[in-house]
Amino acid sequence: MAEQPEQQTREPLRIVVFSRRAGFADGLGTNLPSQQHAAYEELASTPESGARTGFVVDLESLPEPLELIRALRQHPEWRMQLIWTRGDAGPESRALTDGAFETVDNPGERIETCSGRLLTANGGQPARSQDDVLLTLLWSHPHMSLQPVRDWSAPELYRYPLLDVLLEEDTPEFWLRGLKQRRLVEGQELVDRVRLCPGCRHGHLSFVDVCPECDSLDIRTEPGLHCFSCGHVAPQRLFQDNGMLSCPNCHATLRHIGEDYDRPLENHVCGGCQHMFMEGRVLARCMACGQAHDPDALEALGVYRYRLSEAGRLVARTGDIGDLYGVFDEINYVSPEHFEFFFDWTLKLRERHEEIRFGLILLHLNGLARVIDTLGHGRGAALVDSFAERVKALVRTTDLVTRTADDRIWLLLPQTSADGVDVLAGRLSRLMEDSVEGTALDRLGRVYHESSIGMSEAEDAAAVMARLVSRSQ
Amino acid sequence: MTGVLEFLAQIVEILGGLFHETNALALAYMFIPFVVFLELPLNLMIWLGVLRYYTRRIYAVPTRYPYTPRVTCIITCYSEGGGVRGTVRSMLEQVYPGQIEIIAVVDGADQNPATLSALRAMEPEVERYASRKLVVVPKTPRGGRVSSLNAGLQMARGEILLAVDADTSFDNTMVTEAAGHFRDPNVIAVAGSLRVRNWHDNLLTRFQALEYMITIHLAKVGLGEFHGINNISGAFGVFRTEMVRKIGGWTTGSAEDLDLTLRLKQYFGRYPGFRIAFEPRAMGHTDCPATWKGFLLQRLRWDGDLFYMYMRKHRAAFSVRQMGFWNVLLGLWYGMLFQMIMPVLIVLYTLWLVVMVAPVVVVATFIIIMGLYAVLTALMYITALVFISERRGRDLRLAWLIPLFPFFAMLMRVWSLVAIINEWWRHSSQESSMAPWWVLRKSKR
Ligand SMILES: [Zn+2]
Ligand SMILES: [Zn+2]
Ligand SMILES: [Zn+2]
Repeated sequence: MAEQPEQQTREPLRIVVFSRRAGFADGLGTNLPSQQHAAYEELASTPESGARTGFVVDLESLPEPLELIRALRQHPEWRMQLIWTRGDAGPESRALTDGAFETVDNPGERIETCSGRLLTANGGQPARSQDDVLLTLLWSHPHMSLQPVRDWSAPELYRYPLLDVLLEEDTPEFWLRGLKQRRLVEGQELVDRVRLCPGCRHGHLSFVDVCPECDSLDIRTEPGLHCFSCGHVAPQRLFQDNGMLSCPNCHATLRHIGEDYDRPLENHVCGGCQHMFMEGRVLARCMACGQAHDPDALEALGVYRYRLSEAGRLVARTGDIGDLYGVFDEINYVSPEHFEFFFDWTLKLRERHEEIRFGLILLHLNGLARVIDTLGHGRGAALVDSFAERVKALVRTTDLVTRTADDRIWLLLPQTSADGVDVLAGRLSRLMEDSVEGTALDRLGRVYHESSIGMSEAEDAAAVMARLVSRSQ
Repeated sequence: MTGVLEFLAQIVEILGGLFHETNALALAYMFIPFVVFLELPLNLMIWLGVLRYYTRRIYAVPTRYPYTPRVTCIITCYSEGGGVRGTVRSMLEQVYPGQIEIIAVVDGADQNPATLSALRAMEPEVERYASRKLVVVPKTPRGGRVSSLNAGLQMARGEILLAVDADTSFDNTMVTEAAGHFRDPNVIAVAGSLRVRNWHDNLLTRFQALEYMITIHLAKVGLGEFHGINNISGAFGVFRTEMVRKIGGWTTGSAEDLDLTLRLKQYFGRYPGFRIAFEPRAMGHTDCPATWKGFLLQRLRWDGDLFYMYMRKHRAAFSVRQMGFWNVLLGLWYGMLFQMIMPVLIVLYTLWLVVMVAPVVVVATFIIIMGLYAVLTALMYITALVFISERRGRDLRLAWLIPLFPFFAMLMRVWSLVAIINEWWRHSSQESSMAPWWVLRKSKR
């Protein structure tokens, strides 16, 4: 957005139309230069680059329009472009495209906006991961979202066609879960709620009524009787005795309803154990793994239409900044497992030597994405580098450092008094502010700390760290 | 005070002197012929009949080949409200494997919306029963029980027709037991049995329960063995539909049940094989009057109707040619002699006694007679309990009433006489009828 790349002036806007109807492109009524192809292969044979191209797919004249749309969305050259449709679009095509062409007022302007965003997206870097591609696509196509499509063959009963075509690794379900966990996407509209097998997360469940006594499947509705003289409840056929009704339990003759017997509310009977009951136990049997579960134990999954969240838009603009945090890994780095192990060991040591003092500091660099977004990738990276240098200067050689979840940097400070921890935390906090001085931002991140005095004997390392993380959220 | 004590002492003296030759004994002997010649033969016949029934039952070869004709049950409803549900439900609950079509005719449906809606609300319940069907027929002009029965008859599709009142419910084997008799093509109707549902309400209902057990139920079993059933209760009768259609259904007027029975019996002379069977195991339960007023009014109507039927409407039919010798004999003996002439004789005799002899002797005689009747009652009761009763536990709880029962029976006899006189003079069957006057006026008499 800030600087205009010069190539934009070089490449003209154009519209590529796929149709088998002659003169279809001219009939669109657009003043943009357009070319018409009858098949996807024709486009592949033209050498032109497509940064400023919009597609129109005639759904009615092409034999396999959906295949064509999928091919476009998968092609590294075309996947980010606007694709409009003409004619009746099914849910799957709607999920993959930018909508009906006739609803667009000014296609030229739309192509321009889109290609402008594509140039600045991802911090100007080429997309490296499927996340980059998806986030950039959603950011540059404001009319697109992650739209679920009902599909009986999908494990979760719904699938996201956009994820399917862009998928490079994992399964679409795992990918979406990761996006949700990192809060890159947010639910916009709840489409449905499905229940999944907790064992294998398949939504293909068969609900069966079973006997509450013995879990037998063999149950049926049958008239039952309730004997007044002994309270026995059983199917009527067990009472039938040579044209009369008599209780199989107490042998009383049941002559008159309301006097000797009545009809119980229980009207289901088990073929296995003859138990009578009102309502069977319902079991949900998974058609994928065969396990049977209580319906309450099923996992409820809300099927949403997702859009980019605020964080997602930020990442779409800056690109994956995870590697920038890598500079902190050069400061007395130990793996998170070792860090936790040493921390635990220190806590245990304190149980025997009460005089031991130490501290834990958490640097949460949650402002970094915004810094990159504001200053650009290059300046932002330089700023992080210098911040890391200054942190390094404050850290003693005996302090341990680790990093979790990209932006959380932990410092374990052995042999440090509570005051010492406070002082260091104060300095780091000031550093967070100083390092972004002169920019529109107020701080790079926040500092949370705890000295050993604040840690109870009941807590272990994981508990203390979880406590700090919860404060940082 | 001393007068009373003296009076009692004299009674005891007379009773103590019974085994010597005394005046009182002579008087008692004068009364005993009534018992011996009129009642004992009947009782003996009943006993023989019961024994025959019992042995026949024991040695009966179970005939369980399928015979399940479609049965139509007409329930005549009026202002019973939710009470009709019990009747309908007891019909649904029948263990009978064949089809049962229940036609509930609501007379004066406008005045009785509660009855109508109670029946309509049962439709989902009926769905749950296989081979059971409920047809609710609202009849807007109120036409009385007879017109309800005839409306039901028109719609009936069953081979066998049940006519029941909405305040009567049934044991679940009733239809099986009753329908079985129609295997015999000569059986044109089956009389069922009734028990008193509200027997534990008070002393009066207990007396009636005992009366139903001994003088109605047991007598019917006994006489039924000799093909001597003289009436089919209105609360509960089972007919061959074709026969009821042939005689033109129920006729307008009072005592429609007795009337129908007698009209059916008129076929007996021409078709000597025809008979009305009695099935003790086809058991219904009905509420009897719980107040003396209601009770006496009911009996006034019953006995009045009986008299009216025998003496006025069907006198001509009472011929050997029309009904057959046996039926005329039993009809005369049981129906006329026992139920009409006996009360008159007993009352006249008692009056004569009071006028002719000293009060002490009257009381002593009375005690002797009641004692004799109590013994007779006890024998009948034991017979019923041993050979007939299907609810012995319940019937045993009436045993303590036996010594008192003769007084109740005596009262019934006297009241019977009142009813006959009342009928004779006031044609009371017209006024005491359940049907309104404009229907009665259309009657053919
Ligand atoms: Zn079972
Ligand atoms: Zn029982
Ligand atoms: Zn599973």
